[in-house]
Amino acid sequence: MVGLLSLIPLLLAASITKDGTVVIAPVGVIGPDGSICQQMAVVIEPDGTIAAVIPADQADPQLSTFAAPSGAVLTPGLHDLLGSLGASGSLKAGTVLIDEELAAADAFDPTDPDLDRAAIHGVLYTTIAAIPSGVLNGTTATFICQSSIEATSVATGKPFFALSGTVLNSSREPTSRSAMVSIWKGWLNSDDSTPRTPGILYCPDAIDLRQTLSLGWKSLPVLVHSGDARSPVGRLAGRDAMMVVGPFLEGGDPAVVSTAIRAARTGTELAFKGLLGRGPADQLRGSAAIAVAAGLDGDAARRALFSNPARVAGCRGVGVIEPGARADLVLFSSDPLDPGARVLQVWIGGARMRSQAPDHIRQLEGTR
Amino acid sequence: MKPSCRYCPHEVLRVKVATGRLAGLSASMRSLTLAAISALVLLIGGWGPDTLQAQIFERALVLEGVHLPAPDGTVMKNANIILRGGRITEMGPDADAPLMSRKLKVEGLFATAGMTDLYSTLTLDAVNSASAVHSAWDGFDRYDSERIMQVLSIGVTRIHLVPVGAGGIVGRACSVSLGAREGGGHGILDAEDVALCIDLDTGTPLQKIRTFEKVREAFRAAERRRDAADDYSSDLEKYIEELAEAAKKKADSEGKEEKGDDKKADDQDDNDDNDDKDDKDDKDDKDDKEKEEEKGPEKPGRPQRNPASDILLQALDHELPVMITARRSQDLQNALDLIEEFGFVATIQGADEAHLMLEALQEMDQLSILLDVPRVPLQRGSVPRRDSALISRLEASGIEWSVASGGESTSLWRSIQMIAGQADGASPLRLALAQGSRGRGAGWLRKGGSELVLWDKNPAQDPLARPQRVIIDGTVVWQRPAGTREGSF
Repeated sequence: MVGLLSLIPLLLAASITKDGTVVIAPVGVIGPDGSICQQMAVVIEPDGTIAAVIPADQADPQLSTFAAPSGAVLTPGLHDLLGSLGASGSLKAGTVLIDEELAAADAFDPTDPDLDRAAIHGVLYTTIAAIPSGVLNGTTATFICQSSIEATSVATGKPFFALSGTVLNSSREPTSRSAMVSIWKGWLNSDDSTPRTPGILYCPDAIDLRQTLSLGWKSLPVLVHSGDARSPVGRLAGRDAMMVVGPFLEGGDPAVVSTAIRAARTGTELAFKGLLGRGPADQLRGSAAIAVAAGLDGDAARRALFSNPARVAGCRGVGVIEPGARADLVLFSSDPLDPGARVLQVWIGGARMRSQAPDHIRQLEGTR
Repeated sequence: MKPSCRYCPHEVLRVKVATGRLAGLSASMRSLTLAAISALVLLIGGWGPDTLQAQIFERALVLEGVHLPAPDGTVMKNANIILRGGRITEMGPDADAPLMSRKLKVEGLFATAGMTDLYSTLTLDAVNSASAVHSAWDGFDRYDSERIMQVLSIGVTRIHLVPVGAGGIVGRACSVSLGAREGGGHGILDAEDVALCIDLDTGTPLQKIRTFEKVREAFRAAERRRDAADDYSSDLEKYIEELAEAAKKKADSEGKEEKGDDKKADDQDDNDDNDDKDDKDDKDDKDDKEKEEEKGPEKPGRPQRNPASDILLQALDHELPVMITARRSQDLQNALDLIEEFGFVATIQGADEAHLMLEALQEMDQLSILLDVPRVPLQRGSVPRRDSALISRLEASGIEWSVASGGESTSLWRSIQMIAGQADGASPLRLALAQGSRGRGAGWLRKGGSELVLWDKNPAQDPLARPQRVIIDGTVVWQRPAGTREGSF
């Protein structure tokens, strides 16, 4: 295996043709349900989309093939939700309580070098939003993590709501929680609650979620919730809910992790946020590893890393490896939930970004 | 002699009754039976109460049908583990459960020894330490069960508790087993003095320079104090000799004075008319001389007691290893200067930029490195530069290294998995348990071991394996909660 790994840089150089069809094989591929299908091949079209996902032994040997090392797993790009990755300065809402005009995209700086650094760690998408200090805080924006003159957006923005203490302001309405809930009820029942599309709702605390669920939602928005042992996540059962959770920190509050796992057990789909820009680059995978250690199912954790964030942000053709989807791919040395897994290779729009020959030690007996 | 065991008096009485009944037996049978009874009495009486209770009266604990991962990567399937008195007495597929043993339903789980975190600050958040006399054990909160359970839940059964301070000499690390205490809480002190901890990493660059100088001066002061103590010993011997000599002199002079006094008494009547003033002057001169003679040799001053200095001397004498926290290259250089100047047996904790100092590190004898896994932010320059190939470089340079959590013991297993990920094909379990044997832990599961972790999958192969139960000294100290209560990590 060591010999094979040492050949990787040569194989990379020999096999990748940017303007031709490329096959990546044999690899484990993360399916839409979060499971890993082993011994697969992914065919990338020259236009940067995925042409096919087929068993490795059915791949055309005439095509240029990227030989993945044994045990490698191909995933969609990691997705940082509601962080500040790529955002210049802070985009603050709340001057207007229900602000439909505010666009988080205006705060995006496509030349930010952090975008490339994030991509090196496998984070290929960033969804930014305003600081939630109003009831409606404009729309979110999702971009590819690749620094360039022009930003590459992969989703139309989703309305970003808040029902939390951050909305309260002593210099304008609402000044109290009951007033905030009244405003929410009145707005949801009125005809001018314009953003009919279910957006993303910031409701971090247990009381926020409780009050959220008491409102008359036609369809439940994506919930951004941290919570604690009092969080009424049991009431989400059977409601096709989706919840943004994290980041989970080493030595952090176990009740937050526990709440997320309780929610997952009710059938709620989770999506991890990493708060990149401020947090460590491997925060997303770190959160997933902590959640799995605490009892979250491995498939659910992979969905929370890859496909669900794309659903949260309203992206299409992103976050999944299937024909027609963007070929934004990350090759990990093993299951991305394994803290020891390393990013070996990244493709953005079918173009290879990075190759790294892994470090290898012949024999690791532990301490010498 | 009073019997050491509360069961002994009864046994002795029964033996007496039994020997009375033996009278009817033949001589050979009688002697044989008596010998057997005597051996039994000796056996029971010779053991301490704990051993006796553990070996005879305590029921064995049996873990049936567990799988045992071995260091060579193989797995011994469907084995039984038998514990008596909290320790493993037998393990393997052929180990039979003794009669009346307690059985734990753990079929299909994978059993390993517990992990040891060589650098933990568990429950020490609010405890600041700034002296060699401070022991981390003094700040350990044995009743913080929530956090201790979190650590147990990832399979860590033993920690090296390291004091936390604001830089410089921060105190002494200790080794703690996370087993349950009889009086409540968790944490049993295994060794109070594992290392003297010095932090050269905290503070601004200027503060670090001052810290380094302070540490150096503290050790030099300890050396001076030892020299002073040596001088004091020799001065004291000299003083005792002088004192004895002075006492002898004084005794001789007093003998002479007594004779002189008799003569003076005869002369006194003849000199009654002498001037009073002259008498007074003579008396003063005599008093001064007597005082000087009475004073005798000057006693040497004893150096004041200094417990902190005594501990530093232990480090200087290699009786206490030194653990120096240093991450950046300049801090590592300071650490190496200290080690070289004072000849410490040292471990450098952190050492993120060790790849920049490999040659200097290589030159040091008795040096090892304790790595953790730093969380790397996207911004450059905000944290020390850590080479992704650091492990392989350390291996190539022949520098000893091991992995610790860096404080949060809950992250130990993930840290080890990350480090193992840098070495293709390396088993994180092998790395984790090798550390156990390096510290005061058990290493791989073996007879005599008392700390077990039962996993749902094979931790040597499956990165998503999770501990299900943790057993220390025959007690299940943690088990994964069922249902909705699950969530601690």
